[in-house]
Amino acid sequence: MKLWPLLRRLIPVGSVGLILLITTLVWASPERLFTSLTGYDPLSLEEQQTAYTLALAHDQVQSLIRGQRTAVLLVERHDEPKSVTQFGSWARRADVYVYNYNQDQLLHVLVDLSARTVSAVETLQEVQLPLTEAEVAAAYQRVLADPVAGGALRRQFQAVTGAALDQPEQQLKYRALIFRASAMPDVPLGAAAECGRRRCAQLLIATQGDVLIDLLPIVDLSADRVASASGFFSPEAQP
Amino acid sequence: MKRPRFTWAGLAVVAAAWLLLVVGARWTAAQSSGNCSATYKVDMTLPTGARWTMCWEPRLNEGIVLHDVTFTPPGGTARLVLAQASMAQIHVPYDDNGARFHDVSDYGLGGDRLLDLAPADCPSGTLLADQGKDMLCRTTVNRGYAYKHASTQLQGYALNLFSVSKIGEYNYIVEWTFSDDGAIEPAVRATGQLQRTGANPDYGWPLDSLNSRFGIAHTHNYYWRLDFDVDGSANDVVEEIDFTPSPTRNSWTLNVNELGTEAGRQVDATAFRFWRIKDSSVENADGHPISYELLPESSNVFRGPAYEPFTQNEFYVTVYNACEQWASHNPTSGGCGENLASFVNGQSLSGADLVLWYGVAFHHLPIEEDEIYMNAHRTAFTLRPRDWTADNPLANAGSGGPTATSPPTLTRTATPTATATRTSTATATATLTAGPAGTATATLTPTATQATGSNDVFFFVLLPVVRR
Repeated sequence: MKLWPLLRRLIPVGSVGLILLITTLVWASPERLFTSLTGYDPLSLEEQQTAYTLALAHDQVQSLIRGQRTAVLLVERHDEPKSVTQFGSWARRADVYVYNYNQDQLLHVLVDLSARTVSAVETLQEVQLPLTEAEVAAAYQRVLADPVAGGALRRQFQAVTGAALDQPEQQLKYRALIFRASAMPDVPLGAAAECGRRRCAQLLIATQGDVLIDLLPIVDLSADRVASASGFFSPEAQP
Repeated sequence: MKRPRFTWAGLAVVAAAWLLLVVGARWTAAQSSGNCSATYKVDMTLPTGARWTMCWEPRLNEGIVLHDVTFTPPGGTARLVLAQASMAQIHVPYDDNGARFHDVSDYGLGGDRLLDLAPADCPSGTLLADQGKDMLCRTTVNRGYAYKHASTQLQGYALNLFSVSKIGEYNYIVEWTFSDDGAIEPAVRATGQLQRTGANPDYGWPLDSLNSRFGIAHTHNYYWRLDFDVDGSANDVVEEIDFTPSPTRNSWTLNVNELGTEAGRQVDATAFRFWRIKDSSVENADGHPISYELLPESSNVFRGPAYEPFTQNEFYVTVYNACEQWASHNPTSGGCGENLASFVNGQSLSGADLVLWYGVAFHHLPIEEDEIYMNAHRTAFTLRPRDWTADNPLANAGSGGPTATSPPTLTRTATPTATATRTSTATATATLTAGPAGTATATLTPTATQATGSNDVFFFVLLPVVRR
């Protein structure tokens, strides 16, 4: 009974404090509490996960990727044409792209997130999306392991730093972009002549100290081999 | 007369009302208006009264894509300008033909290439995030004189948006500036570090004391895709405007040529050539069709080999085709063209939904100062209204009559420095009924304001007075 007078005072104080806390949270981040994604909004992580799951569970997709060397390259909002957007609202849909390295096919799965169904499945040739982080790392490892390309890289590193390349992970940094033979039809491409139809990565390498390595090796990810040890530029820079 | 007495119940009522007010206001602000939610919407009323609204979206290839770009002149009508605008390619051929990069299609400006910006990257601006990554900086910038005449002057303002994409050793700062006079300036600033060095002096510039290491010269061919919908996609027409000199070159005759079919056109600085897209059915108060013009930048012109036919022109107009996304290395599935040159295939522009493409070249012969960090080199061009209004809509915002949205006043002091001070005051009063216990009056006084749209921080001081 003695507690009641104290409680009677604490309840309003607590209520006011709670209200102030809620208003502060609401003010700080209203989108998290109130926003539902719509229109041109990019996919949320949840939507990406849903699209990915629905796409890979689809029978036709399963039949296309079963037993094949594949990688999911991208899950992104489906860019609706203006014939759809002109009406002012449209369903949330996602594109899921899976690459089949064995067949050199890009599998495009269109997922209707609202209906939670797969709307369309198509296979595309000679369509190369930007490289994933895993593909870039795999290309770099392939160059390091290759006697010719790895040797050229070690010689270049020695030339520009005066040190031996014995701990590549600590000594080098790398990035990569898609290489297509059609970009340079006037140079002898050798094994890289099929790039574009096949999925190829051209590496950009520098030391951790930001000194450029004058090599642009190309890795054929479809064949899992080095297609060019140095890229295609002036002969004096060739190993 | 009884003296007002403080009660906990009264305070709780006021607090509850406060909760309703704040939650209601923020709920309203967070609701989608148009084709995106508040998180991905930019709605900026500039200090001179002009307003820009648009949606933004990060995409793997293009980086930041802008949708539904709408301009409202001060006191004027909101009209759609661009349905979509984005980078369409960054083509980087090296002078030694050792590499020919196509960054938008082959590297991608989005995904993990879009950098997570720190507050220091966006001084005095607001960072906009997608999934926790701050990838777009939104700032209001003073662009200097909008105009000055006799005793009248106006300091103009602009909305500036930029993101940074790390491409190899380069950082591309992709920037859009939307001014209060309706002008749009797409720009890219190239910075970071050089991507390639070599040993051949024919193609580069020496970067060391031994003259043995050369920064290889290269060109950045920036392309933009500008899906104009001037007050909607219907009735848009593109005109090429240039001038012909008389035989003695002492006078110039104006030429206005409507483009009837898809076309690629070259810049011609000697003929003062530019292009405009007009809505043939919407007129300003003087009866002239509203339009936007594209003012080219042509200090460098790149004409590449036959296998890069898209480099043969700077300006292209095409009929909208959803699969035509990039200036080069465009996906050809479904029979789509591989590059801009193949997009131009004789389609009539009459009555069609039109897309403009524009490319600007920056030929970069490295300098020693490029190491170790290249100072940002900015490449830009201008889109601006022509006859959007019958006269200058900023005229009434001049220095003659400061209003609640007056621009910052420049205070001259005794020292040679000048200080820009933004002044803004406003008071909102809300009367709240508190039920049988009495009436609560809350006075809301803004202590800080920022002219950056409805979602920005706007703190109020609540002064509750409760009486029985």
